[in-house]
Amino acid sequence: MEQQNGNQWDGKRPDPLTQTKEGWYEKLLKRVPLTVKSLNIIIIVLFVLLIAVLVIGTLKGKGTF
Amino acid sequence: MKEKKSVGNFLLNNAMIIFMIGAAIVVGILRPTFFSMYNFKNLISNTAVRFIIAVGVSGCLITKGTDLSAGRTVGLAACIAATFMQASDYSAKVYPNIGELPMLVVLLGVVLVSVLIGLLNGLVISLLNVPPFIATLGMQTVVYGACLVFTGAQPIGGLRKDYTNISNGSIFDIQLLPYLGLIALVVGVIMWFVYNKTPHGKYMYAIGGNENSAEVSGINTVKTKLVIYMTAGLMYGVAGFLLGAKSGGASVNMGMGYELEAIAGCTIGGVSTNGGVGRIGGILLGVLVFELLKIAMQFMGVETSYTYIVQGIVIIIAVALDIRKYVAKR
Repeated sequence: MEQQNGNQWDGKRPDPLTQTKEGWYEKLLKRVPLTVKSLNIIIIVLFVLLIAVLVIGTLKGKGTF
Repeated sequence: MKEKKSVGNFLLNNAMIIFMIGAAIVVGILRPTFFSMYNFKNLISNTAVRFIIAVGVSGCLITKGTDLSAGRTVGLAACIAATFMQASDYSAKVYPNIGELPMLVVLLGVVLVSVLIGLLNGLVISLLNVPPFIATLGMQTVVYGACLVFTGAQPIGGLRKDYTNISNGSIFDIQLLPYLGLIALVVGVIMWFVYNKTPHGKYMYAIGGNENSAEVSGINTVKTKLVIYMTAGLMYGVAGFLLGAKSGGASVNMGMGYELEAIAGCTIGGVSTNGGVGRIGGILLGVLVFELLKIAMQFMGVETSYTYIVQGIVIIIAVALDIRKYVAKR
């Protein structure tokens, strides 16, 4: 986001045009850029979540292992 | 070292397929009936219908589009097919004055309606430049409304035996060779030829790779997209006709959510949501392993509500893996 005079918005002070500050998403993207490494971690977390839901669903459905 | 890395990449890129096959093997060990002949026939029949829908959606995905009206179009096609394939002696026949129509005539009628829906989608997307997500979402609601009007929200039953035999029968009475599987195979071979050996297929991949470059190099992108969405409509028509026969009836709720299953199957099978990538063989594998997981969950007794959560996470992982491939290439 840029000001009208072309200066880069630093994100700390509210933008004079939109009156918004840098949000949590912008901060998160700066800290965790979209790289293969960060995606690997996200995918592993999702796989763990998938297995957890499968196990809970089986137990709730009174299925046995 | 490089070889080790490439093996790791292969495993990660195909993690979803490996996980699902692994899960199926575990279920097979815990529940020996999982590997029964009946279950295999069930798997082939379920995969056949969904594969045809996924092939239709794949064309849209390859050109960086999507088709959210797929499921509802399949549902409408099934309702139309079931309405005109009711037995003449059925007491609650929707049109009692119409005699028994030849199956081919009904199939052509159903396909014509579906292709028209595809044509409308294509026109809105390629001529009016409406994002495919919005255009097909609108069409999804329109088709659902049309289906409600057509059926009066009443379920349709009492189908003719020759129609339902399409799903019950198998070649030479071999359980592993149901007619549905053969039809899906024929559709797959034809679409493989279209995707790989015709100018239309090349244009489709070119548009998916870079639409502006494709247009500058002389490809008629409007016409190509129209053909893609009409072909998708054709696939939904065929799938709806088969689904009606498989279910032994039809209702307005038929086909609900099938578009997401088709997109999931495509993405698991390697069709990139970034466009320009996708193979028919991959789609078949993607749909097959997705169905395998669904059946495996039934066998494990996973509560129904949780199966939807699992399917949703599978779709998210498949898309995340696709994005990973894209980021790795950059």
